[in-house]
Amino acid sequence: MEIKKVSDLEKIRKEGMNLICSPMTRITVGTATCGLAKGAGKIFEALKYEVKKQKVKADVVTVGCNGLCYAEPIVEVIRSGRPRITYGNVSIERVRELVKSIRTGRLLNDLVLMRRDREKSPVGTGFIQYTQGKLPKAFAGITEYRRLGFFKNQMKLISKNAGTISPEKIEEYIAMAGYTALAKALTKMSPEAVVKEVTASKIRGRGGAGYPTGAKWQACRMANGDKKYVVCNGSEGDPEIGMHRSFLESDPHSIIEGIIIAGYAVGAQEGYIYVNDRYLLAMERMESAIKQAEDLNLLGDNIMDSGFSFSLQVKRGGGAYICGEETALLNALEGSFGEPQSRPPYPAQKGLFGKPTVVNNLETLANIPLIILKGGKWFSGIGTRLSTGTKIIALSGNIAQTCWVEVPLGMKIKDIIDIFGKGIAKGKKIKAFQTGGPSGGILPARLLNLKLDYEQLCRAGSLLGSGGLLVMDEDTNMLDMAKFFTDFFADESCGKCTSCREGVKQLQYILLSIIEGQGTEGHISLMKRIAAAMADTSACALGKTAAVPIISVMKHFPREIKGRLIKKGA
Amino acid sequence: MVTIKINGKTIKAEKGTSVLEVARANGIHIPTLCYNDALKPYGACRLCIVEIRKNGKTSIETSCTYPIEEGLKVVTDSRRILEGRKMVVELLLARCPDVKSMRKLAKEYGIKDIPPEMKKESDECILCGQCVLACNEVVKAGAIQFAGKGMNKIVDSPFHKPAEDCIACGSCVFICPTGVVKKNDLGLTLSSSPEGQKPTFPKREITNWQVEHKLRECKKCGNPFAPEPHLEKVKQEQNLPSEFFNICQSCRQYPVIDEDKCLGCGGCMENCPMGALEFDDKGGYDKKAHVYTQNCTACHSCELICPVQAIS
Repeated sequence: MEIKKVSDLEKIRKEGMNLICSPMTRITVGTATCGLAKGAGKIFEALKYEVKKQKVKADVVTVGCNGLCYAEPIVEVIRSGRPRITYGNVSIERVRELVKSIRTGRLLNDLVLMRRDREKSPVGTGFIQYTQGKLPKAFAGITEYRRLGFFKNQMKLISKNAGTISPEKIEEYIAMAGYTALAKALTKMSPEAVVKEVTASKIRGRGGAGYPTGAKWQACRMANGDKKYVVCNGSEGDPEIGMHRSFLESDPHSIIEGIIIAGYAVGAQEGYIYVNDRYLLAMERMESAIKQAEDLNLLGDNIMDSGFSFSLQVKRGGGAYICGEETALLNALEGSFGEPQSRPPYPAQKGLFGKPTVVNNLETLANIPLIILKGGKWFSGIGTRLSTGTKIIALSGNIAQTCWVEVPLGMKIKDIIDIFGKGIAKGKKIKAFQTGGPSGGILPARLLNLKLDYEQLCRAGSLLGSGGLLVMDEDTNMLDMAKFFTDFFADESCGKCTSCREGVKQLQYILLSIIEGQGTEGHISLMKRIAAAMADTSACALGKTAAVPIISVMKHFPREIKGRLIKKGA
Repeated sequence: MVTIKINGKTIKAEKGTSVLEVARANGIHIPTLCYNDALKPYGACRLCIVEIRKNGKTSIETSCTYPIEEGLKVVTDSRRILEGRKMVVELLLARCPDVKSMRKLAKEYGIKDIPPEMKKESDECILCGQCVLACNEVVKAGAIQFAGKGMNKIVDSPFHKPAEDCIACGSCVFICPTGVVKKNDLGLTLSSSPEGQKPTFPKREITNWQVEHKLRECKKCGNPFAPEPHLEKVKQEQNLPSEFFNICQSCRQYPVIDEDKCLGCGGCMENCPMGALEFDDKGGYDKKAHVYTQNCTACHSCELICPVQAIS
């Protein structure tokens, strides 16, 4: 059927809700890449087999990722009228017992992580009530998820659907108020009003540069062009994170909705999602989501009978880190080298194929439906004054619990590590941390009280970036870390400009000399000069920040470097 | 027209002109390496960097690519800029220590030696991109491009095979600031070689792209003057008679008509593809051919057809 008016959307919402909160038992398996890597695919097949064999009336459904990476594979059981039970670290040997437990009503107590009695939608369009009536005794001992530190301290706004809905069923997205923001924008708001709302939210680009999204949309809106484009940057080049991948695999429709609203706001009718080459499952799920949206007339000609048309395509990137830079991305989309281009002119004026283009990070676009539904003013009240909203943070490294979370900006880094990551693995002490990926500085443990926002981190010589938080323990060799990230930049430099190409090559060589015990004070002063020139004269942010790893190590851990130098007169 | 300031000097220029062009038009020196006014500015060498102050913010940009707008303040010689430029030259010198133009540049910046801690290489290409841009944008042969990424970036023919689309025009050789792109023009050698060996044709080798092409010989003087594919390409693109492509640049001259010999037969006019010959009526039966040099392409078709050799 095609959605021609809001009441059609309501019909599908009911269908979707019947799937999520069904009279039949619903068994969900987290099959995002992280789960699959730990065997979730086999568990999914095994569950289907056991359900059939044991003649249990249950639907086995694939869902995305809820951020509990350390507990994958995750299997959830929702029996009608009972709380939603989350099992973690499920192994294939336990599948038969799990299915049996659905028949008997017993629980696999050693695998239970939490229960959910009800689920409130952050857009205030109602809630899902899992537990009907009094809570059965068997479940009383299980912590309700809202009381768990892991969930209590998050603010799951854009990630609310991930892990709950099937990314393969558009009805389930619609059940969670999906596409109602689009309906509101197209039927009740002018494009100018949409831009105004986004500007009022004060949301900043989630890719790293932190440019105010409203200003970018306004510039594109006002630009002259017979054609305009929206490009979603899903290239996610930072080596230690997988949030874009998670989103695309868990809740692709939230991105689609954000992109269409962006198109409406600026006057674009064509959009592209540029996805990292490694993310095959993500691309598959996004492509199938696009098709489902097209079938319902939520994409294509005359969306929801509004007169606005928009088409969307997935484009596969080659996997280069530099293609996260917006002008390099646009060059790559055009079939040219992934090399940055000088600005001005900015993409908002002259972007893809020379036309006005809005390039937004995937996470930025995921926030748009919420801003439209609840208003920019509401959004600007979250986070800090200058860094509004939430941010997805992926914790990795020597952390006890690898995970990703959604927190309001302004939260202390120490709290993020302690509450969600449960501190350092194996009881060791934290030595250093890095935010924002390779371009962020490697900061010492004494700076852990820094707040996660654009300003504070920038002042400390780091950056918020795309939300990676890498944690290093007391056994970490800082020179090795500096070398790792410098090598990363050397591999990823596009090679266009002298400063970056030659500069990072020399930094690598100097680092090697120091590691091999041939370093002198001369090496250090040369390194500082090269770093300053790279920061000043490189053509793009990659070159400008390629020296940050080694410079931050020199600044914060000087003894580890000075101790390796050849002493004068030795 | 907009008003900007460069080093404190107030200047008026067309909006959108590059800072570099405006500076040069006003006698302000900014060094460049990869810039060429025949090519679209690329911004690779980073030598032409300047400080741009706009809306209270300062940034460092390449002056060759930055378009001026009202109220821009530019500084071309601050300490940050000079130190940045010096490092760029040091890095290039470390990459290409044997290239004469790099050593000369280093001297201008007071760089006596490559810092001993730097890795010294022996490359000769500075990846300025001028050969690539000339081939792709101006000549439009598209025979060469950048290949590889980062430190492994080079300029090359596709798949490092002899460049199929190269017309041996030599633009890449001409434009190269370091001389790493080389050509070899080899003349005709007569068969003083042993029996059975074929005489070599006059040819041009563009060594870097593993290409060689025959050089066409001038119909008048016999000297080889241009590569065959180059001439063919220009012929396809320009509306010029085919005879034009058989005369070398030295021999190409405007026709001079000997009025004593001229019969007024009109044969040259019929044969002139550009309509550059007309009768100059001197009255009566005495018609003589006259050349209108503004239309003439010196193709020598008239010279070749004149029955009495009145044209030279």
